[in-house]
Amino acid sequence: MTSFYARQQGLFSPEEWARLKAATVLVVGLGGLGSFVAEGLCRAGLGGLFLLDHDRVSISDLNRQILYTSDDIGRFKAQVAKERLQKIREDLWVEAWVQRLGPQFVIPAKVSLVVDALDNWESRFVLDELTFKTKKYLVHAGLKGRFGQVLTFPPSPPRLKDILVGVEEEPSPPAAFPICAILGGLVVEEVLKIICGKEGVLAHKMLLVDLQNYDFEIVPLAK
Amino acid sequence: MGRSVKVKLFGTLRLKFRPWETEIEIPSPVRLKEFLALLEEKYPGLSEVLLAEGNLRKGVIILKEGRNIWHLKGLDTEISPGERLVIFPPGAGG
Repeated sequence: MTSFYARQQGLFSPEEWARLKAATVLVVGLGGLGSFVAEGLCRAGLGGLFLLDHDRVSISDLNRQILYTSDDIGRFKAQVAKERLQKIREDLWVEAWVQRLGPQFVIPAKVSLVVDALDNWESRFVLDELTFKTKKYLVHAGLKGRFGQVLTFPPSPPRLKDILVGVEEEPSPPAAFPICAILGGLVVEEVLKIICGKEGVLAHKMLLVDLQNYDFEIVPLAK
Repeated sequence: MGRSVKVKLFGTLRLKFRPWETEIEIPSPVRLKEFLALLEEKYPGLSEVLLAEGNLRKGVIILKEGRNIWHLKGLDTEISPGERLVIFPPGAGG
């Protein structure tokens, strides 16, 4: 009989597989990036997911946010996401929270790693601080048009606020399916690598993605 | 170590400025403010993106050897031959 994971058996050792099944990831933001990240981690075989987003599905989300359909317009994203992911994998442990991220938010102790898929710098810096205080790994991605970046922060300096000080809020930058899919896929790969303890993660590095010219570059960051 | 500074532009800056990689010769260390004036000769209009009334404008990050110049000396940061600058507006969208 073919199992759900038959096609990825050669990618993970038994020990790595056990780590994935035991891991729980907090995905903050369930928009264009968070949709791909949550679904990717679900399909990869992760043990559990906390999903956090305060927003409802709107029609302008449907060009890129793969978790939702037109039937979901007006519903809370976190709730819809939970339902969809459990249809993909009924053994996935999921907790969905409809709320905004703020400084009072408490990252659950069972969270192995946090993904920043937010859409504004203010919240991103709050999450950066919370993950630093709780000594969790943070994987960040952000996008603008056909460009974006992925960074991983181990529980040590420098932090997001150190690397990206001087940024400016830009509400609703252009965003389409390809950049969300590619950055989301990269974040999933990064999370799986960190959980499995593989080498080559983006700690102290920044991956800059340029879909306009199909250019990917890793920029080393000072420690 | 060469006498040039390598500069790479990323993100939406690439929609306006080509080529996105260049080298600027400097015989000795200069302040970032002076270096940006040299860069303007290769990328006309870049100063306007980076500066407002002589100060650094928010929204575009300048990394010198992987360190944000806001954490160094801003426009007075010393740029030396052999160093590498990365300039990009990070994406906030999710």
